[in-house]
Amino acid sequence: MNDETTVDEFAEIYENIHKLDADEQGDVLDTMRALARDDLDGSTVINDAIRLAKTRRVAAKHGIKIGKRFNGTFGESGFMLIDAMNNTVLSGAEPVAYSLSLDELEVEVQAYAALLDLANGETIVATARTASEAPLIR
Amino acid sequence: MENTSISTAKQAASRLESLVSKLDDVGFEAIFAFTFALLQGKSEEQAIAACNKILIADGKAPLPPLHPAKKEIVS
Repeated sequence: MNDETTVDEFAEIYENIHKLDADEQGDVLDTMRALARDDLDGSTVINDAIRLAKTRRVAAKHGIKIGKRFNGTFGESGFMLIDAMNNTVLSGAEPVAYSLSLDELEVEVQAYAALLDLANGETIVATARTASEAPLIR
Repeated sequence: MENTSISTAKQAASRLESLVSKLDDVGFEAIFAFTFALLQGKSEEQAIAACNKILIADGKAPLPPLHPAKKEIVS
């Protein structure tokens, strides 16, 4: 990531700031909060924020919402996967709420996305309409 | 090693946090306006003006004016 790229990325966020949903707005605020901390590396904060934004986009395409409990930095935060249609937790509720790390979140979202993509193409799983139903036919 | 723009954003966030009691009170849009102005190479006064524009539009209190001695801390 070079200097120009980062400025361009900030510019893109700024241009689209009115289009951000509440979760994304929260992420921007949390990013700035993390950047304000002296003990954190700015590149790590920005990279984690970009990873979360990309994961949110993939999740949203599949009707999955990401719940976040911000613990000062994205790397230390906890996440949950929520089925937006049924408002039920798909992952990250055990052993305690928001127990997925950012790494685990990416893996879980990719797994659910793959499962849902597969379910959409298969007759045998045609009744699986949401991610919460998908594990039952795995 | 952080690149310059990330370092500037980090300084901007710290600077803004020192101007307000809580970043949450200012809101994400105003915070971003402040940071982005500095990233574009504008002065801190201009960044505060950009931030205040949004704060006033939202019906919030503007940021306090810069103390002369504290001007241009973030360049």
